[in-house]
Amino acid sequence: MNGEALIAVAPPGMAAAVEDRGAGEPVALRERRRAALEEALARPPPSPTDEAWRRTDPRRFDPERWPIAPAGPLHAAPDSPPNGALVEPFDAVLTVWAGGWSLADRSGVVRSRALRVRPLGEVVTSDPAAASALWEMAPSLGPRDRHELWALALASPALVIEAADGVRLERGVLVRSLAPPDMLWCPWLGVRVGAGAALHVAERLEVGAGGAESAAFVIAAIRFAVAAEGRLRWGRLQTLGRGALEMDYVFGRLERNAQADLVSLQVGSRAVRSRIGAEAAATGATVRLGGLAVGVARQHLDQQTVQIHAAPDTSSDLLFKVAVRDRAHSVYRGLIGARRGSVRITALQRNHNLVLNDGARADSLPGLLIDADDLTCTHGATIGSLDLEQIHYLRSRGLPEPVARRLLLEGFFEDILGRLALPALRTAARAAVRDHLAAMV
Amino acid sequence: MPSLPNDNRLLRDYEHGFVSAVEEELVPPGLNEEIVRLISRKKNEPDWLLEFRLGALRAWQRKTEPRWALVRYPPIDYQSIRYYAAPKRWTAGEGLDPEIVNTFERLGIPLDERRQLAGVAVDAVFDSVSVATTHQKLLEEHGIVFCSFSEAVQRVPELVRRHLGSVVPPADNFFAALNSAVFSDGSFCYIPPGVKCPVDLSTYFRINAAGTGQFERTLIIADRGSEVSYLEGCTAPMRDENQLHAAVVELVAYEEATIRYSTVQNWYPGDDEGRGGIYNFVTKRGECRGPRSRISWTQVEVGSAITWKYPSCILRGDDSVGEFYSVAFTNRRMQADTGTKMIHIGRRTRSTIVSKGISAGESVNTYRGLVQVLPGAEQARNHSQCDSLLIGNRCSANTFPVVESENRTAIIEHEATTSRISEDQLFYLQSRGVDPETARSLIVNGFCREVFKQLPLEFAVEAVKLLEIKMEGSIG
Repeated sequence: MNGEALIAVAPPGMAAAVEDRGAGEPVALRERRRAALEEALARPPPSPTDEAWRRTDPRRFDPERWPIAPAGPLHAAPDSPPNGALVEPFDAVLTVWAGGWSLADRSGVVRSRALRVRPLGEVVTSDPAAASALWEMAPSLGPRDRHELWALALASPALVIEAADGVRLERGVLVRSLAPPDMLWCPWLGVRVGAGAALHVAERLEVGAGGAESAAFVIAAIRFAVAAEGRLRWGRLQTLGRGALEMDYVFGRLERNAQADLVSLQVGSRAVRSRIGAEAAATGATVRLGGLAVGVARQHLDQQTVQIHAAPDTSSDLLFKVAVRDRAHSVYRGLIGARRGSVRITALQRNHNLVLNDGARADSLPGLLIDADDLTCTHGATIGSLDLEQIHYLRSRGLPEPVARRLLLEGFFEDILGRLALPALRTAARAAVRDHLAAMV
Repeated sequence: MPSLPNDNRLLRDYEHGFVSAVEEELVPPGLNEEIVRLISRKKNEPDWLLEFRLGALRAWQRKTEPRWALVRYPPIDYQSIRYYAAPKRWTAGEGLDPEIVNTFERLGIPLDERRQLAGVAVDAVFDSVSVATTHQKLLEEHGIVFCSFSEAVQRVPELVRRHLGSVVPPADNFFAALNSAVFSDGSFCYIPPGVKCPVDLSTYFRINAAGTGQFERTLIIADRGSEVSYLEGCTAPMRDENQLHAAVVELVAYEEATIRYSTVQNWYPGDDEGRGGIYNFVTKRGECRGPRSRISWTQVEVGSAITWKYPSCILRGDDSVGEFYSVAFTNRRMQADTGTKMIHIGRRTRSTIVSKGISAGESVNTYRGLVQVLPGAEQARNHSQCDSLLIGNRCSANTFPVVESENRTAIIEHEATTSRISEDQLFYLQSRGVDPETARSLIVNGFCREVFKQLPLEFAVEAVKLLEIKMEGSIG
């Protein structure tokens, strides 16, 4: 289907926005955007009767109700000064907003070409195979989500962070993603970690302006490829305003002996639908996944995780923790998939939930899909509340009950926060979680 | 024409695969209002029951066959199935066909009370009818009603009418609607208040006729403070065709009553190529209607080409208890998608789930479960444990639990593991002179022990032997 034909059937503004983003990009990328839009239009919209949407009302995530954020170089960076303490420890700071991006090279790693950040279009031209691998990467557990296809078609900016072979950037890159208020925004980020390289990426997703109550709809896609013996540490703190909607599609592939430590912290938004996962594609690959979500008021938190083992001697370890109160509702779905031949693997999956008052709700759907025999896979899920005996213990030592509850909640999440490698990010995350928890006790 | 596979190993593995030469009365194939009326007429049923059937038929016609389970099978032609098949000589007046007596004899279920195990009363169901119920006199002395479903409709119509469809409504799901429209016989059991049933009650289901299905209905009511243990067994001949078994089992436990329901399911599983075997699509559900009541499901699933069932408990009464203990063994091309649902409604309700799945050959074995805590279920408690054992590298083991909690005082724990037989354990046993086959069998029996110990002794012994036979040749 050509651009004009798409304009005829796509929702108002959608096809034009896709064409707008494709202008100036290589033809191959433009065609992929169109193909994604075409595929999205061919799919029926998600319905509350679909198994995948039974617990999350798809009408909350209707992209057609939102004006699409503009793309192009005309739009300046939003006025949102970076937090100095958070920026300090990083080699580079990448700021991304609707229509643009900027990169601050704080320790000369970009100058020395140890680290590169460039638009996906450039990668398509110089290394089409690598670009294609990132763009097409998916958990292959069925057809792609319609929203994910929107995100591909409307990706802007679409950037790739690359760590060259053998470099070790332990201080890494801070990615500040600043969502435009009251608009639909689809940032796309690819991360390539070279053979034997080490890279740390910390992302903070927030609304660029408008404060805690501001609305926005973000559909973010993040793809990472870790080459043999490479190591990626990725942490993401989402503190969008209480009027915001967020969907993310985070997925990566690991080659021989590669490692990935992924941590997702969902604190903001009115509603979240997040999919995060990785495939251990070659022998010796190791994935660690961690996540926490804190839901208050009427927040809806729908999180899915995928651990795919496609090669022998691979391992994965997942821990997701959730606390909900008021009328908040959380849904956790986890899947461990062991493909035929992926022997001698170890795959662990744990999900712990706290329901802090009547009216709040937590659903847990852990899953194992095993087609190999010589392996150890386990999953565990718990739903409960704060331990009354522990509260009593703390109160008997003179702590007021709200303080005792807050301490227990902080302790509940501490092992997730402890997975964040950089102290500065850990501190920022701890503060964001504490602020959110303050409303809970 | 369906044939008996000429395969010695199959015959050894499935010794119940013989066909009995019993002269049977068959209704024409197909499902429509006329067939439903014919079945109802044959059983001399009251108008309300005919209306129940016709309502279910209309509901079934509106429904589409579900496809969400992790099982694959070609489309079933529901119009080619005969929904009623009964031996011509089976009523008491005419005397039982000796071939039926021989059949149950060969299955190890003598219909002669004197030769039976002292502690078990048996209702024997052959195709669409109950052919004999033993120990009736002893049970009547205690006020217990244990008879075929058709007989119960005549003897205690009000009890049947009040409870039928109260746990599994006729339009509950596609297969429950099908059963509600055409169900033939099954067992009915009523335990009066305060009575502890002096013997275990048992129903043995046998499919014999070709081209038919079995659609029995079982209803067990335990009144206040009563207690009953119910055992269910089933087998079918080896045939190249697939036969449908779509039963409905409803359990009702009133205040402080206890029902223990045990199943050893050994329907014909089909041959190595996946030809033949029973499609076992069953709806089993119990309701703990009164406070402090208890329903316990124990199942050992070693047969059927496809097993698709979720024995469930609705825990309505305060302090009621639901339990589910399951061993599901799949081999060759068998497929099982089984598990349970525990719905916590009452306060301080408790449930326990222990599921052991063993996959061998090219089979697919899936645990699927739901634990749901509704807002009023204060201090509800659940513990679930689902373990899978893989034997061979061409089988699959899957686990899909769902846990939902809407009450802050509820505590729910779910754990699952998947692994293969430990090399260390095998080495340990072999170093002590145990041959590999016996060693594997010992390990598997140990794996299932938690479930087997819930079974009455005779059933536990049978289950262990059955599993040993089924495992033969499945391990290289």
